[in-house]
Amino acid sequence: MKCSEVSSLLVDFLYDEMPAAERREFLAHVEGCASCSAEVKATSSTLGHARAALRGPLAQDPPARVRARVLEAAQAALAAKASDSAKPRTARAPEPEGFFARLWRTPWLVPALGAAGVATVVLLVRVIKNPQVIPDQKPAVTETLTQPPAEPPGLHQAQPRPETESKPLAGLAPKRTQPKMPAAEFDHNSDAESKHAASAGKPHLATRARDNPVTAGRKLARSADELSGAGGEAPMLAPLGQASVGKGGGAASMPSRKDEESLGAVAKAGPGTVAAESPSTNRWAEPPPPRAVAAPVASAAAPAAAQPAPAKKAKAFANLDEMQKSAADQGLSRSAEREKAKAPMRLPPAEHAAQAEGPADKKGANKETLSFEERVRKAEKLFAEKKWAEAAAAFRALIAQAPSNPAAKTWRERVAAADQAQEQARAAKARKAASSDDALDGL
Amino acid sequence: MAAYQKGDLAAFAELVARHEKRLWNFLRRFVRDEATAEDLLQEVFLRVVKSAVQWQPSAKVSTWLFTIARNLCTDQARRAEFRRAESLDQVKAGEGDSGLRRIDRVAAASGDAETEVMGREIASLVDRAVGELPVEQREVFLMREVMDMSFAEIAAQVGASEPTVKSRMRYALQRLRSKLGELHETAGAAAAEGTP
Repeated sequence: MKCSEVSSLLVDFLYDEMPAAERREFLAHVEGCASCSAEVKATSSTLGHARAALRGPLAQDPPARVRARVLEAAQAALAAKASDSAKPRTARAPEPEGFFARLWRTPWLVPALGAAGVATVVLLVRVIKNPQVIPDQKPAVTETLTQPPAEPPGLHQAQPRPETESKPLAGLAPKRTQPKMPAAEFDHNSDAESKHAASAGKPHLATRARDNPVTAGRKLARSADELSGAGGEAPMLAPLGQASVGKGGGAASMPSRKDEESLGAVAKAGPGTVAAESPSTNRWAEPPPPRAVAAPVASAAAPAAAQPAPAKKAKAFANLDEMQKSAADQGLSRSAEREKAKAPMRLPPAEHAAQAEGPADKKGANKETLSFEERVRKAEKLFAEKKWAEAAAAFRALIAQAPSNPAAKTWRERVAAADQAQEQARAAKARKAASSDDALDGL
Repeated sequence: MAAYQKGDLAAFAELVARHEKRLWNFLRRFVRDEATAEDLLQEVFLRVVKSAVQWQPSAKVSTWLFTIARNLCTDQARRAEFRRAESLDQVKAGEGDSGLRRIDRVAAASGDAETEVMGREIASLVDRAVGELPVEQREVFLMREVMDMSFAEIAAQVGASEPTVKSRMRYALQRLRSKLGELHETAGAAAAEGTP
C-alpha cells in the first residue's frame, strides 16, 4: 500500500468501515511509515477531541420554549383536524340545486346573463321603435287603392321563392341562375312591351300580385325575378291598362331584398297583368328610383282604363308603395339608384324614350296615388274624429272614385253610420231645443 | 409519528424529545447562530406538524427530520452568505485583550478546575473550528458526528457519492487538525509532564 492510498483510506480506517484484509494491509503500512503513522495519529486525536467536545460540553439541550411552541402548534393542528373531520358530518347539508344556486356557484354567468339581457332589451327597443329593422316585416295594408285587373292564367302558375331568399341587385352582385319557369306561361313579347313602356312612359314591371295582400309586394317583386330568371329578361313594367309580359331567355341577376322593397308598385289595369318593376334583367334593367318607380295605378290615375280585379292584388299596390316609401326613407334604394345610372347604357331605344318621359309621369301617378291614399286616410280620420258630415262626404267621394274597391263596402257602411250619427245629432239637438222651449214655456 | 397521526399528542412530544437535541446541535453548529438555530429547530417541527398527514410509515422519521433541517439550513446559508455571522469573531476580538491565544490559556491550566476550564476551552475551540469549515465539509462532519448518520445515508442526503462524502470528511478532519494541532501538541506535552 502506498502513502497516498493510506491518506485516501484514512476516513475508512477511523470509522472502521474498512474490510479486515485491507485494514491489516493499512496497519502494516502505517507501522512501517513514520509520516503516515503521524498523520493517522494526529487525525485520530483531532477526531477524538472534536467528538468529545461535540458530545460533551457542546451537546446542549435546545431551549424549552421551542418544545413548548412546537407542542402547542401540534395540539392546535390536532384540534383543527378534529373540527374538520366533524364538520363534514354535521355541516354539509344538501346544497340547493335551483337556478339561482347554480348561478351563485358560477359567478361568471352573472355578467354574461346581464349582457345578454341588455342586448335583448336594446334589440326589442329598436324593433319597437323601428319595425323595419326586421327584414321580413311589411307595413300592414289597410287601404285599397283600386281593383287590379284579372291576371293572365299563366302568371298564376309562377310560384314565389321562399321568403328567406335574398336576391342581389343586377350588376351589384354575382349573377345566379334562377330556376326557369315555363316560358309558355307567359306572353313573351318584348317588342310589345317596349312599345307599351315607351308609349306610357312607365318602367317595365313584371310580376304578379299574390293572393296574400300582406306579402303581395314582396311576392310581386319575386315573381318579377322569377320571370326574369325564366325568361332572361324582366318583363316591362306594364303601363296602365296594358298587360306586361316577359320574354324568355337566360338567367338574370336578382335584386336584393332591399332593392326589391324599393321597387315600384304594381300597375293595374289592362288585360289584367299585375306588373312590378324588375331591375334584374340585363337588357331591360332600369333600376327604379325609389319613388318614381311606383307605377301605381290607381283608378284615380286612370279610371277609365282600370278594370275590376281581385281586391287582394289591389291592396298589394298600396303595400308596395308603402314599402317603397320606407325604403326610400331608409336609403335602401341606393343600389337601385346606382344601377339606374348605369341602365341607359343597356336600355333599348324604346326604353330610353320611356325613361326620358318616365319620371314626370311617375311622379304624377305617384302623386295621384298619394292623394288618393291621403283622401282615404283623411276620411278615416274624419270618421274617427266623429266629424260625420265631412267623413261622409269624403267616403262618398272615395266610393264615387272607386266604386268597385273592396273597401267600398266599408266606406258605404261608414257613410251610412255617419249619416245616422248626423241624424241622431240633429234629433238630440232638436230634443234639447224642445226641452229648452218647454222650460221657457213653464217659466 | 403514526400515533400522532391518530391524534396522540404525547407521541409527538416523545418524538420531539427524542430528536430535538441532535437537531438542535446540528443546527446550532451549522448556522453558527443560536437564535437562528432556535428558529430553524422550531420550523422543523412545525413542518412536521403540517405534513404529518402526508407521512408514510415506511419513511424513517429521523431521516425525514434531518431532510427538513438540512433544507432549512441550506436556505439559511444562502441568505447568510452575504451577511456572515461573526459571533465567534467577536469572541476572537476579546481574546486580544489578554494577549494570549486560547490554546495557550488551555495549555496553562492545571488541576480539576483548570481541567474543566480546559475542556470548555477545547470545546469552544472545536466549536469555532467546525464553524469555520466549508459548508460541504461542515455538513458532512456534523451529519456524521452529531446526527450519527452513516456515510451512505449522508451520501443519499447530500446527493453525492459515498467516496465523495468520505473525501469531504477527510478534508474536514485535516482542517480541524490544523486548527486543533497546537492544542493537540500542547495537551500531549502537558500529559507527558504530568506523567511520573
